[in-house]
Amino acid sequence: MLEASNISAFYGDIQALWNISLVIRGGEIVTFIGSNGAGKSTIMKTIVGLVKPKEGNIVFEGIRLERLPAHKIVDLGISMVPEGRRLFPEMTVLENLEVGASTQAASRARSSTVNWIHELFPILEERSKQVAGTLSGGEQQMLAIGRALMARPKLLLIDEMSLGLSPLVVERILQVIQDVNRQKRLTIVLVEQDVGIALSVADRGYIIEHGRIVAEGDTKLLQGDGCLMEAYLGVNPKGKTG
Amino acid sequence: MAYGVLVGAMYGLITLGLGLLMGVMKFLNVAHGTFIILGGYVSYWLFTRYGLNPYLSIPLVIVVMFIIGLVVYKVTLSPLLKLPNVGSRLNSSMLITFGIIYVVDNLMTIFWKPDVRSIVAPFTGRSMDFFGTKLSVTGLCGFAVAIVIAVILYFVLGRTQFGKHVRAATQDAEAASLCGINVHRTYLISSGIAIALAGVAGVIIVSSYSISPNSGLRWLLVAFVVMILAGEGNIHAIVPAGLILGLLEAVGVFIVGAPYRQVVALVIFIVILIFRPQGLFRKGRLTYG
Repeated sequence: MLEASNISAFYGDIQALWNISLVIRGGEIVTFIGSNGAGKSTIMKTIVGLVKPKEGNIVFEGIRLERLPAHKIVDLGISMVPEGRRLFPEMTVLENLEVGASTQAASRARSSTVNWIHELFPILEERSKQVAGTLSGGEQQMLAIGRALMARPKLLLIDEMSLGLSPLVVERILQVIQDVNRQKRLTIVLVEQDVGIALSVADRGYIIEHGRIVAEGDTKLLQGDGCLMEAYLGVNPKGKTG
Repeated sequence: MAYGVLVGAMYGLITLGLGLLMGVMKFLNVAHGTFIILGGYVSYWLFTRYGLNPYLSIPLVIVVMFIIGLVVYKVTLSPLLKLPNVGSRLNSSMLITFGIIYVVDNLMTIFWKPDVRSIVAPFTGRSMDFFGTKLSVTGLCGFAVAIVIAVILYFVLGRTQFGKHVRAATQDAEAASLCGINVHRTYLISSGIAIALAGVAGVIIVSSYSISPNSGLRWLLVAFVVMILAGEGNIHAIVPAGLILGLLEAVGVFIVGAPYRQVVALVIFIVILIFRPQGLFRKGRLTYG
């Protein structure tokens, strides 16, 4: 579905990604894991068009993405839930959702998509008229995910979903993500600092360190490889961060 | 008092275009006064050439100024979007639009000569009786135009898809593009609207007062004061803020006399900046992001 080859990306003069090559297949849940500043978010931003790579190319369903502006990439079917949620703080919950469906295709199906989001996250329907800036952390995360889903994407990127959220809320959101993946065959890429969460939900994983991919594979295999876990993630063999 | 309300509404109308550019894109358009005058000249030209009633010329002025706004954005303002932070964007937009003042003011002088112009129509000197006060017809029309424009703007920003795009792009441009919003195009159209709003204000001014190629500065100052009163980015507070200024000016003139009218406005400007820089209508403190 999506293939990135030899991506190098910079923030100004500082190189953030070195020769990144990866593959995302339709219907799977893939995770990028690694420590802070490793480059996981940068890869996501490069895919979605917020960062332009200096080298390499990204192909999504046959179309080259590197030169396209972000809003065109959304149009092609890739949507991202950014780190920190980035909701529109002065707009209501419903308006945030509606704005999520700003592409032509999505806007035609807007009301039915809103109903779907309300099924997934009933609290959002309750709080429809509330201004987004006043929601709790968990509700904001649900709204951010809902807003990204409003674009009816084929590929959903979620950046650091669990930050600042209680385990119960995270669990509920993960359940929704897995359901959507299974029922709608929505391909999902998850960037997570919490290794346990990432590996419990994903089919495959890429371990990122210092802007490079240092390991990849089935999450079962990754989990089983204790040396790998410890070396790159500081995770002891039982899967808990140490 | 009533006069203060009429003038105040006009002050609000004058400020809308400036407030829109500032609120949405953080561009400070110091050529705003110049565009107001330009709109006035277009209306004046239509009136003297074709006898077109200035208030009827408003749609035409809107179209012309909208197109000019698109050009201004494409040529001078959009390159500024590449700048890394808001502060440099503010400064550079001031510099660039300052240059625009020179160019456009001189073009207007060439076209229309430096004389003072105003539209003298059959209704110009007349006034109507309103609950015992005599109010000028031009003042009432100006008031009506201001209210209509403010209401239209309210609905466009609040209810239309485009309005939501504008609000989203204002609050978080990157997140807006992640929703599929073409932020550049939104900015482009907003610039067109902002300059068109300046043009409409110019029509009111050329009918109620007078214009000359360099008289833009006076209206720019008014717009600054109203914008500060309303609070940066607070578009819906602009007409109310204008009304407040109009009333305060009327009261001030009553107390200290007519020659000090402009002083009143500038004193208010200073007071607000000292004690409540976020404006009268904004909750919370002013932050620089």
